[in-house]
Amino acid sequence: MQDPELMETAVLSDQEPTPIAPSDSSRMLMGAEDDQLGIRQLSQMQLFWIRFRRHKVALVGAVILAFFVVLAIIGPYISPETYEGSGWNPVALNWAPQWSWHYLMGTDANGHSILMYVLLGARTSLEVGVLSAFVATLIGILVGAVSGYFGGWVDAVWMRITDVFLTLPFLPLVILVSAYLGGGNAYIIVAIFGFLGWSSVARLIRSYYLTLREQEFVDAARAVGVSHSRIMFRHILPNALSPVIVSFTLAVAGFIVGEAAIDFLTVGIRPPSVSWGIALAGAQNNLILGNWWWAFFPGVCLLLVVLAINFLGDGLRDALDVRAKTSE
Amino acid sequence: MTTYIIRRLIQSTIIMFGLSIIFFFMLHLAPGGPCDVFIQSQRQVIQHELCVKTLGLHKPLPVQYWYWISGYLHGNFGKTTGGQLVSSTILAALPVTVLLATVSYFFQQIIALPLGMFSALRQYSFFDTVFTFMSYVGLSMPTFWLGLMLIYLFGVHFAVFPVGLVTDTHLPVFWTHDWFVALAHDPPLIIGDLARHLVLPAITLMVVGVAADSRFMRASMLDVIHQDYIRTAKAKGLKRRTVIFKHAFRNAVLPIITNIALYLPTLVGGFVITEAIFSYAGVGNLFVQSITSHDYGVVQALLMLSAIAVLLANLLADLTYAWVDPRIRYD
Repeated sequence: MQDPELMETAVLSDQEPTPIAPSDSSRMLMGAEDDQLGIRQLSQMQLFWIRFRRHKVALVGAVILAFFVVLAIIGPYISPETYEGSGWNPVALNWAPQWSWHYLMGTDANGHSILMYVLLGARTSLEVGVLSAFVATLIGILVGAVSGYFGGWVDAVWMRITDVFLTLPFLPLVILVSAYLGGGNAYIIVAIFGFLGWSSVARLIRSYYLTLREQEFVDAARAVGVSHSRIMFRHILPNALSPVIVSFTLAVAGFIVGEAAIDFLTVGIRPPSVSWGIALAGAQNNLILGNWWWAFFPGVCLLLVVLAINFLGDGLRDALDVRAKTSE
Repeated sequence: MTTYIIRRLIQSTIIMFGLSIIFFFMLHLAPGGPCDVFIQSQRQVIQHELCVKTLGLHKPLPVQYWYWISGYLHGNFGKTTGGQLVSSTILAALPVTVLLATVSYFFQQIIALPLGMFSALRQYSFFDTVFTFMSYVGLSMPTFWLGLMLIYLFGVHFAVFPVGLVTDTHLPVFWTHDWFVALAHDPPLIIGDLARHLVLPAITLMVVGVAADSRFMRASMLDVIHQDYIRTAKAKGLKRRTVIFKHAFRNAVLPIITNIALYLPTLVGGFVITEAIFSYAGVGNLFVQSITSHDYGVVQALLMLSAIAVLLANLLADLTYAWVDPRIRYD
């Protein structure tokens, strides 16, 4: 796709991070000397892809994640059984893994196939993780954009509210609220995560808006009479998208672990829904019997998904050239 | 500086007020009150009414909030559904969490600091690559799964460590009068028992902690060894050891030390998941148990305490930064 020298030029900036804004660095790379050097212009997307491809671990992460996404989609169709369709099975109680599709990962104390937990749980985990991160990011963008853009008392009020949410002990509160409201519904858990987890995104977005709103293109937009909401979301937001993408990715990983944790403490999703956390919770009480497979396989899947997303997030952070920004 | 501290304290007070309202109404508007346990029993009506009366649940919510918050300001945290003082229940669980936190934090630093330092000194080497990969695994590790695997391996399969609790059941409970008497009588037995129970939960906590702190140490060390004064020290012909330990390490470890402040909230918040897995009777375990038994008072007190701890710890961390690094100024 690109010749090697070009790649070297393009990736210079990610070796030694320099304090230049993303737009500036890309302008430098494809800037004025284009004609003399004979460098082809690269779009933001191409630059991103060149940098991302260099990050081998992130590629591995992307592949692992893709595998689990496929699993989440086709899992219910290739699963040897459904939860409801397989009640107490006196023949297959606590079976160790065996070389057959049905019992590849052994069974639990009711005779349910652990493979079923793994296959169906992938969907639950990814669904809750992605949706929660989506809700949290959406609220975070709204709050951060409004308080960063308008400043003044709006900012002061919203930032105090954000401070309150930042101070909330996240996990204990999630456990508490889902113990009272949960009752096995994944969407209630999404709402809880989203409502309690937006504050750091809001802080991040606000810090970007504080600098971006001082730039000329915002003045220009204001001068020709563009409405506030249009400036906020059509003019400024695309410039603050890189940190949003990175924090979204890492939030997915966090919420997937969070969901498994509350399932594990039996205050989250409940049977007949299936999740990896439920499998681990069941395994906890029976581990003393030595049936390691019950906890091992769902847990390994959880670890792999979270690891893959973290790798991916790190690759995105480098490729999108996001640097840690202080909030105030 | 004084104005800064005062401003931060005022801000924190406002935040605490907001939090207290959230905690209060969140718990009271939720279904399944603390007195509902009595509904299932025989003498339901009288018991239930008595419970409602003692906890003041029949009064309007704003009035209840007022009683509750003014009680807190007087240091009165109310009573549990079992009739004990909330404060003494928490105080009984606190030493367990403090023990777990300090021991695991101590060993975590002993492992994390050298790891991070050496991987920074050999940046991009084989060791550094392996270390970076391992720290990713550590950071992504779900603690509850790690705990289960440790219980299986060392508690069940090899059976070298007990799988739960703080002390053996035939020995007195940790940090009680009996325990101290037993400790004075036979120190090796009591300390050994405590240590054996501590190993697995501490390792569970340390894996994530080591991964995070060694990454932090690596970044901090990399930052320092590219500074001018390190080059100067090398140019002067100082020994490599001296440069690393006297010039680089001392400066690189400062941010880690100030980070201890951010670790303080766990002392009162406890480790909810790890303590739950190992039935380790600390504050985190108490929190989960109180939720399952609908014990408002304890849950509220723990939430308030951990929120206060977070606010104070943040302030403390910022002040320590300024103290160890005179270049940082708050106005």
